[in-house]
Parts: sequence; structure tokens; C-alpha cells
Amino acid sequence: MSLRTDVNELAPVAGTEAVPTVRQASPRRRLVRRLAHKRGAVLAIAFLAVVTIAAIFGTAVAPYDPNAQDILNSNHLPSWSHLLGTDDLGRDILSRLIVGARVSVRISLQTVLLAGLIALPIGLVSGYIGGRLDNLLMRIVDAMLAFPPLVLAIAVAGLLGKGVGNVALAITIVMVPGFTRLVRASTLAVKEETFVEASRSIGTRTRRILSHRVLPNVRSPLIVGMSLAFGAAILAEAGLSFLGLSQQPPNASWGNMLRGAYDRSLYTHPWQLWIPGGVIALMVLAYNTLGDALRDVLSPAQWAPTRDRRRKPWQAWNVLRTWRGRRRKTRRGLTAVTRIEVPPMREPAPLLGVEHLSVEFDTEQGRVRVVDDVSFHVASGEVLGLVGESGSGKTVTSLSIMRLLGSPPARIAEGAVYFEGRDLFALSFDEMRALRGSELAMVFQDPMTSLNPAFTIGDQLREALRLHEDVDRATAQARARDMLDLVQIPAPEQRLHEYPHQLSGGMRQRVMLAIALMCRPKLLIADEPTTALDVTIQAQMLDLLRSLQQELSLSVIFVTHDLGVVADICDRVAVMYSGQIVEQGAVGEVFAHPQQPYTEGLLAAMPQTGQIGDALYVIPGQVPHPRAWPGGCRFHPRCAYVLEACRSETVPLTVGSDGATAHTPHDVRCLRSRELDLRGAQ
Amino acid sequence: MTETTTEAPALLETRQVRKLFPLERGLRRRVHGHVRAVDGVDLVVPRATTVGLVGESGSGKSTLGRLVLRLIQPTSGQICFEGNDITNLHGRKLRELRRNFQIVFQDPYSSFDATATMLDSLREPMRAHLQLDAAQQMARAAELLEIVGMSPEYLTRYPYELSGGQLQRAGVARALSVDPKLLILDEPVSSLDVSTQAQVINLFAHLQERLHVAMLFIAHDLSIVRHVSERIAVMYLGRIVEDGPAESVYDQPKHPYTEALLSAIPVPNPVRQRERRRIILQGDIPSPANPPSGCRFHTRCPYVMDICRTQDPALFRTPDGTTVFCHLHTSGPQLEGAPIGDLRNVNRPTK
Amino acid sequence: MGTLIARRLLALVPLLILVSFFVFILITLVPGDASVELAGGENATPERIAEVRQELHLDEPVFQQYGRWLGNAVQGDLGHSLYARTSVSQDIAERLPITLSLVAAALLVGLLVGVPLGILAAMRPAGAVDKASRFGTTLGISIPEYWLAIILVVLFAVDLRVLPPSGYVPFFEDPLGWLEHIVLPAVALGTWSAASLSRQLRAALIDVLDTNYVRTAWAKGGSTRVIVVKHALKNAAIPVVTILALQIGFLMGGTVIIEEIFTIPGMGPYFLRGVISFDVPVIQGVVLVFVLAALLLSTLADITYGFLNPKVRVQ
Repeated sequence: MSLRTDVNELAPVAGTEAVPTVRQASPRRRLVRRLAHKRGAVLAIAFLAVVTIAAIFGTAVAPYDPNAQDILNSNHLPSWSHLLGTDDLGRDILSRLIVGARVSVRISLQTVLLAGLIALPIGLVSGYIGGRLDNLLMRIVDAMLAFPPLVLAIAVAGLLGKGVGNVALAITIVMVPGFTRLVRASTLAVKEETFVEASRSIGTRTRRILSHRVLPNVRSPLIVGMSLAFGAAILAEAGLSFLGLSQQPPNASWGNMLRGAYDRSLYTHPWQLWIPGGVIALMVLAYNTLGDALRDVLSPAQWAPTRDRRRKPWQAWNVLRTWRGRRRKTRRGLTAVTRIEVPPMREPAPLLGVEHLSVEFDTEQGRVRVVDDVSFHVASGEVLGLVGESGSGKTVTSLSIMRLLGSPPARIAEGAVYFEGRDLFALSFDEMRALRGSELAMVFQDPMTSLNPAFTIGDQLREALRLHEDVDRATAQARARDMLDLVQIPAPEQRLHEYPHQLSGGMRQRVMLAIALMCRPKLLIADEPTTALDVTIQAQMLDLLRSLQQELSLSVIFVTHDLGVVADICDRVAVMYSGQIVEQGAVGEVFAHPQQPYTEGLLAAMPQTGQIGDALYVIPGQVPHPRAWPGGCRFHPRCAYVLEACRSETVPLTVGSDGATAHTPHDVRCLRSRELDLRGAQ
Repeated sequence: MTETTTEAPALLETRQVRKLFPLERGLRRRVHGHVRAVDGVDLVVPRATTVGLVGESGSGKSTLGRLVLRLIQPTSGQICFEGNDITNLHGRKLRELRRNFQIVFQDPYSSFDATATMLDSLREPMRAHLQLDAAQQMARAAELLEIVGMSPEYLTRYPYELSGGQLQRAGVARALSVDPKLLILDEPVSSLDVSTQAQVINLFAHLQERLHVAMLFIAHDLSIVRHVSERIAVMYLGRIVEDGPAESVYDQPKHPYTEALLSAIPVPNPVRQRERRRIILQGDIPSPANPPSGCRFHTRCPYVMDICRTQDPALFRTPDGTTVFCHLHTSGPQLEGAPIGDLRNVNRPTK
Repeated sequence: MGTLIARRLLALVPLLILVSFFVFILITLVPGDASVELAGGENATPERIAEVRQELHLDEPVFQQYGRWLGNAVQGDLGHSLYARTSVSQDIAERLPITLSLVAAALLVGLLVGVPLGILAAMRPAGAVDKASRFGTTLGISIPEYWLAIILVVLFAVDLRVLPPSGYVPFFEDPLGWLEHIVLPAVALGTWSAASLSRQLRAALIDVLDTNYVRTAWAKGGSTRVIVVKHALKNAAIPVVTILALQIGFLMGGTVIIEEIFTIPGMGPYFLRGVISFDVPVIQGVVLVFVLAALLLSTLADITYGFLNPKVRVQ
């Protein structure tokens, strides 16, 4: 029975999709919620609120007149009548502390807000407009920033004359250039963003771009900078008070209270030193804690995960990681294993056997499984293609074999990987380390960032050898040169002394390959090694990989999203979708006679196929997020051949399915593989 | 499809457009050279036609797109829109002109302001160019989303709630909101997955049919644009090397670089892929800061002749309306407009 | 590399001119008639006012005053104190080495404590060491250094009596005595530096440890020590050097109060006497020298940055 449908009739244009019902909270709500989760920040806000209220009501809440002297009751320790004791003139310390808070709170708010208000327009315009004005303004800012801040504040406050108002002015002057530079730097960064270019190309006025596009995005760094500056302002005011330049006695400020205690009670009543100093420290601590929390909450990765995803779009798990933030205990360099059972090795033992591998990530929204019961093997001298779109789990699978995912968030929840009969998940850190780079090697996708910018090519090549073999530098250098020669880099001798940034992308990827091959590994895992390269350079690289693979009879796992590359270089292929293998077998067989609708769709959707001018075949819908994998067959919402059973029944991987047309059997995950006659490669 | 009527001027035409970015060096930041990003390009986009612009990194294809949009100022040359020179427009006139051409960017995530809702972003072009009140803007935004196959419910969403493919479609909706005559598509699908890629490519074909908008589709490989383009221009190091009807460029490439580009894309069919004759170009793409003399492709060309090293190839127009810049058509084997593939049938020139 | 150094030094020239101008126009901040104020305010005698006006050339246009002042300053003449009548240049020459030695000692404390702490914290984020160090460093950047100084005096000089509470002994006269006297001020001043340095280094290291090239290093079979000490530290040091340059300015400001508390005869007390008594030549001279020192040191840090970063060094 044939159910073949003309692929082009299925979905000529993307249809309207269902909208996910679960909404994410608005940015502001998420921000408040995240902040509320930080215990330190909540405490800090509470403390700041209490101090601010005390400062506002000042004398009204103070138990005594702060300036009333009572020589008979001088230098008292804390008691019920004087909660914090009295000073050398018998004045109530608590009352003085409360009116002193007025000075600190006022100065910190006034200076920071005023400086921010002055700096914001200057920084915005200077950064966005650029040119001569920017040049001039930044020269002035640089010159002002060259002054040691406190020295400048003392000089300005001193010359203006003693008093709180003048100190506020001095601190503001010192703060403006720093804020200006901060706003300008953020503006420059935002200006480079595509959405600003989009607004320009739309024809939006500059003023509106500044107020509606740049400003909202500059706000976050400025808020963080300002919240950290509150503390600095308090420190500076108290310092100037201590030096006698700010609030003049007998009126109290925290700084002059400390000075008074230092001058008159250092040897006799050191208790009095602790109170004003401690309050200053607490206040600054509160502001700093709040600033730190705001920085965490407002950082782009937290606030708008898309930005982080953009940077490494091919790593879906990167998003998962950033949700939880940075502040987690991470075991770097070895993925944790929490499996309960150890699945047996298949017979006969291949070079590499992956058995029932499942990988999970711990995220803010709970545990997410990103690789689910994956099994495959690689024979000696064989090239296996691991194919899938983003979020299919192909990269996580390959990194799990090397145990390169950090734990947490990653965890190997189930399964085993047998390499030459050894279970890699049972190895210690040092045993695993000894295998990495010597028997098992890996090449990554992005050649621009995968080499260390601070070391020469030669150094990085030599290191790969010397980490595993006890050889002298000269031997390692000779091997490094040979390797560069092997990967066909011209003038290898000279390249050894160069840094990565001096090489083109294609050359860097060749260097990565040379590093991977330094110790003559048995298995090479190549994670999208040609994706970031230009088309003609990709062709060179594939050519090189093919010839090296044959020459060295390497076993290779080739991770890619490009079926063309698989057709070019692989012997066998495993197609992944939503963390599972949905089809695997010999490349010729799977491509000619796919038994899984996803494989069929993927083959038909490749832009290389079809007639010029014809519409492409379309798989409707989106790749589901690992948190929202559908029940039943995971492909069923997008499948053209879906039956009721596909929605509810868990679909197993049928090993050795011969499909509807009884060709060479291969493994398939589909309830209808025996009845569907799917279209293969054209 | 390829006829350019003599009466009505083309929608967009560039004449010898050049963009050089200065390179500074030394103590006094002396300009010691230029990145010749776009180096004398003549390109025509007729009304309601899709032109594919293909090139690898350093070819200047994206720079050309930005020049056409007047996001950057050309060093020399002319850009004409409907026959009017727009090279030196500024201020209000330029802003008003921008209604006519809109762009869809490569990276869907960064082309939307993360702090703005989709409605806010979709409204931006309307606010700049159309006199509509808030309710009308909202209605139009909803309609636009439906045109690109999305539910109007997305209007209240933030960019991070959408997938890459959805954002890219919303980007198309934003571009269409002011009925532009020309859409510049700057690698609009290269950051998308295969299945989503096909959705967006088909959307372009569909829109072209329905709205009769002209498109300049920029891509880094030839396979992406083949389903939507009527004409294809291939760029290499700041210059167009071949420009012709899509079928002709695909089936009978006239420039060795086009031939190599086509050969470099692996076909997802193991039998065919392993049988294909492959042309592996040697060496790296030279830097546009220091392009080779003569024909810029001569350092990597498998058919290079002596003349290529010294002389810039002149324009050669073939009978099927293709323009090609290559000495093979006039000297050496004198292909005179025949496809490069014919060289294999005749005696192949030795290097 | 040579170009880099030359460019940095050359960039200093316009900056120096601008900075010196700012230093000079500090005098315009004095409210009312500067000559009256500087001569002692309400109690000033007409003769004294005329004398001050004459000495500072206050009758001339500002730019002319500036030109004269700068010309003298370039030749090492910063004028005379309005009260003590001593040469400001000479006064500063006697005091600057003391202050710089305090800055150096504080920076040393900062590096010796901050760098290892930052590395240890970054190796196991959220581990025990990291948690403890985060608590400590948050405290460290919040405590005012003058209060810390006083507490140190109370503890070590008043209660334990193991270190002197104040004073200064030149290094070349009595190295051990110098050390005894410098320990408390250096710790008081360096605590902030250590705390902030360790936080910055931790953040930079964690960023670097997340990069693709560190993943490459793991894949090559690198040990934790190789990864952190070789691959990460060299790259993390690049941003941290910039921080260090900024710290120098902060530390110099800090010395003013610290020297006052420990009665160290450096620039601080001299500067404060000048400020209290409106002694403009002293104020201008001290501020100028502070800025110059800070600028030179941060230029040095800039050059180090270039040296560490091959992208700047090798073109």
C-alpha cells in the first residue's frame, strides 16, 4: 500500500501555528521575581528602607535632642535609656546616628542621581553621534578620570569651603565623568546592534531611536553603575566628614562622629568607634549587595536569553545553562554520572559503543532531559554521521562521550559509553584525562574562538602531545611541524610562531584538526567542523578530512546538520530529533529509502534539492523545546502521516526494520514504517 | 523575465558603486591602504523581480546591501532608485525615501529590541511613514502577522518568547508594513534550521507572487537562492563576476568561480555526490584589503592563463543575457559565452 | 610593540595639557574674590591681599596665568606656600616617596591576597572557598579604610601593643622599623584593593573558563591546573590589568586619610593643611603630582596590557 503524497502539496506556505499557551512573564515582573529570590538583596533593601525612613523623619524619631549635652552622663555604654550609649559630651549616640543618616542618605541620593542625570544625555549623544564632539567630550572625561577621585573631591570641597552642600557638589563633579563613560560605552554597544540598524533603515528619526531604542537598553548598565555608586558616595562623604570638610560639629554626621570618637575616645572608650564606622560599612554593604544583585538580574543573559542564544545559536543547551545563572557550583571538565544501572556492552564489541545514553540538565524550571536513550556504535575505520537540527541533542551527545559538559547543570542520567571495551562513565577524572586528546580527540565548530588567543599555534600543538607523552620540546616541535604539513598548511615552520588571530578561519580549523591528530587518536569526534566556513573552504576541509580519514584509517563521528555533508563523507548515519535517534543505518540505504517521515522531510527540505523556481518542501511547525517535547512520537505534531496512535503511544526504535519495500533493513522509530513508502534523495 | 525595458527605468540600479574602508597604521594613524569592500559594482534590480546576490566572506555582498539602503555612504559611484539618483540624499528626504526599501537581517534575535513587544517593533515603520492612529496600526500589525503565517496573539510577546524562524517571519512582517517596493534580504535564513529555512524561503516566494515586491536576496551559497531568484549575481572580492538568469547561472555557469561554488555545495544524495566532478579551489580567499592584480580570482582559478594575472577582464555579454567578467571568453579558448563546463569537452588549458 | 608604547606616551601629551589646565582652574572654585579669601578672608589686611594678588598674578587673564604657571611647573617650580613660604616642589619631593611606598605596599597586599583568592574562588564557583571569599570580599569593599585603620590601631597598637600606632621610619634608615610602621597602613589601605581585585579576577576567570578555547584545552586532556593556571590566567589577566590601573588612583586618594590617621609625613597631611588653609599653590602642586603619578602608572598598565595581548602586540 502506498500513501505517497506529492511532497510539494503538503504545505506550500507556512500555515498559521498554534500559539503556546504558557506565557513567560513580562521583563519587569521577571526582574522583580528574580530579585525577590535573592536573600541578600531583600535584606539590603529592607535595611536601606529603615535607614532612609529614619533619615527622613530625623529628629522626630530620635529619642533625644542629638546636640543636647549632658556631661554627667558622658561615655555611657548602651543601656535602656541610651540604646547605643552616650559620647564624651553625654550626647545620645543613637539620636546623633539618626540625624547623621540624614547627611549620608541625602548626599548619596543627591550626588548619584544628579550625576546620572547629567551624564545620561551627554553619554548618549556623544556615543551615538560620535565624531568630533565625541572626541572632545571623551578627552575631557579622560582627563577628569585621571584624577584620583578622593584627591579631587578633597581639593574641590576644600576650595569651595566647608559644608555639606559643597561636599555634595564635589562628589557630583567627581562622579559625572565615570557615568558619562559608562553611558557612552553602553550606547556604542547598543548602536552596533542590528535592531538599531533596523530602526535607521526604517527611517525612524534619530531622536526617537535614542529615546525608544538606545535608552531602554542603556538603562540596565546605568542602574547597576548607579547602585554601586551610592556606596561610593557614602564612603566619600564620610571620609570628607572625617577630615572635617563636610558637616561641621556640633551637628552630627557619621564621619564626624567617627572623627570625634577617634580624637577623644580612642584609648578610653573604643566602643564609640565601632558604632558610626559599623553603620557606614553596613550602609555601603547594603548598597553593594543590591548593586551586585541588580547586576545579576539585569545582565543580558538573564534578562533576555535570546542575546546569549544568539552568540552560540547552535548550542541549544547554552540557553538552558544561562537560565540558572553563573552562581552555581560547577565541576568543570568532567560530566557527572548519576545512572543506576549499567547497560551491557553489545557483542561483538565495536570501537565505540554508546548504549542507552540519556543526559539531563538542571535548570531553573527543573530537570530537563535533552538526550533520551540514544544508542549507536562506531566501527574501526568507519565514519558515522550524527545529523539533526538545533536542539536535537547531537552536540550534547558528542560532548557526553568526551564527558566535557560541566556538572551541574549537565548530568549523565542513564547509559554507558564503551570505548575499546572500557566504560567511559566509570572512569575517574585522571583516567578520562589520559584518554582525551590521545585516544579520543575532538574538533569543534567555531575555529575563531576554539584556539587560545594568548598562545602561539606551535605552543598549542606541542601541548597536545606533551600532555600525554614524555617528550622534549624539540621532538614535540618537529611533530607539530609535521602535523601542520599533514593538514596541508603552507609554510608550517612559520605558522608555528604565529598567533591564532593571524590565521584565516579555514587555516584555524586546519590547526584544530592538527591538534586533534597530534597523538594519533583512534576516534575523532568532529562537531560541525565545516559549518562556520565559507563554501569553497568547506569543500577543501571535507576533501582533507576524507583523505586523512582513509590515510590514517580513522574512526570518525561527524556531527552536522547538513545532509549534503553526510552524503559526501559518511558511511553510516544516525538521524536525531528531539533527543532521540529516529533513524539509523548505512548512508546509501537511509538516503535512498528513508522509513521515518522526519528523514523524508529533511531530505526534501534541503535547498539543494528540487527544481529551480519550485517551492521547497516544508516541515510545518517548529523544533520543540526540550522542556516541551510532545508525548507519543515526538515528531507527531509536524508529521504528515500522523495517526491517532502516534499521539499517545511511545514509539520504540525498531532495530533492523525492512520497511514497506523490503530493502536492506535499518533502525527506525516510527509506528508506520512498514506501511509508508517514503521518498528518498532525488 | 530578463528584459529590461528601455522606457521605464529599473527599480534599483547601481553604477560603478565603490566602498573603501580606510586602514590605519602607525603612530599617527596614517591611512596606509583600504579594504576594497565593494569595488565598482553595476547591479540592476527590475521591478517585482527577485535578484539573488551570492558571495563568500569578503565578497562585499552585505556591504552592497547596506550601500543600496544608504545605511553607509558609497565612496564613489551612483545609486539610482526609479531612475532618480539617491546617492546624496540626506535628512528628511532620505527618511521619506526609506519607505520604499526595507531590510530583513541575518540574525533574527538581534534585529528586534529585546525590551520592546512585537507590536511596538511592527509599529515602528508605520509610525515613521503612515498616518495611522493606534487602533489602525494595531489592526495592520495583526494583519501583517497573518500574512506571514503567525497568530496576532504574538503582538503582545517579547522577542525572547519567539523562535528564530518566527522572529524572522515577524521581521518580514515589519519590513512589509509600509508596502515597500524593494526588500533587501541579508542572509535571512542562514541562522535558521533546515526545516524552518524552507518555511521562510517559501514565504518569500509566496510574497513575491502576491505583493509584487522586488527583492535583493543576499546569500553565501547558491543553493539557498535558487528557489526564489529570477536573476542571480555572483560576487567575489568586491566585484560581480557573473550576473544572469537563474537557470543559466545554475545549469551553465560562465565563470570558473560560479562553477566552483556550485560544485562545492554537497548534494544530499550519496550516489550522486560521490560521482560528481568536484572542483576544489586551492588556497584561502584573499583579503579584500589586498586583492590580487588582474582578475581577482586568478590566484585560485583552475583555468588561469597569463593574461589573467595582469589584465582586468572586461565585461562580456552572452546571448542569453548573462554578463560575465572572465578572459576565457575572449582569449585562450575563447568560449565566447559558452558555459565553463564546455572546457572539459575541448582541450583543457594547462596551468 | 614599540609603536604601541610610543602611541601611549604620545596620547599622554594632550591629556597632560588638559589635566594641568583642570588643576590650574581649581583656583576659580574659590568663592568671591580669591585674593581676599586666600589672604585670610575677613581678617585679611589690604597689604596681604595685594601681596597674594601680586604673587599669584590674579590680575592677569586666566589663560595668561595658566601659561605662566604651566611654564614654571614644567621647569619643576610649583610656586611657594602662601603661609610657610617654602618651595612646594621641594616639599613634595620630600613627601612623595613616602606616599608612593605606602601605595606600593598596599598594592602588594592587594596582589598577594587578591590574586590567589580570586583563583581559588574561580576554580570551584559556589564551593566553600568561593562562598567564604565572597563574604569576605563583599565586606572588604564595603568597610571604609579609615575605619579599618582605626580598628587595626585599637587591636594591634592599643590592645595587643605589637605594632606602633603611628609614625614613619624611612626605609633606608631602618628597614625593619619601616616595615613595622607600614604594615598597619598598608593592610588598611590594601584590604579594599585585595577584595576588589579578587572579585574582578574571579569574574574574569569564570568568563574565560566558559570559553570555547578552554573547552578545547579540556578536550586535549589538560588537567585542572593546566587549564586554570596556563590557559585561563593569562587571558583573565588582560582585563584585570586595566582594573589595576584604576585601583592606583583610588589607592592614592586613600593615602590622604590613612596618612592622616597614622601621622605618616607623606603627601596627605601636607595636602590637608593646604586645603584647610586655602593654600592654593600647595593644593595645585599636590593634585598635579598625584595626577601625574596616577597617569604614568596607568599608562604603564596600558602597556602591560598590550604586552599580554598578542592581538595588540603582533599585528
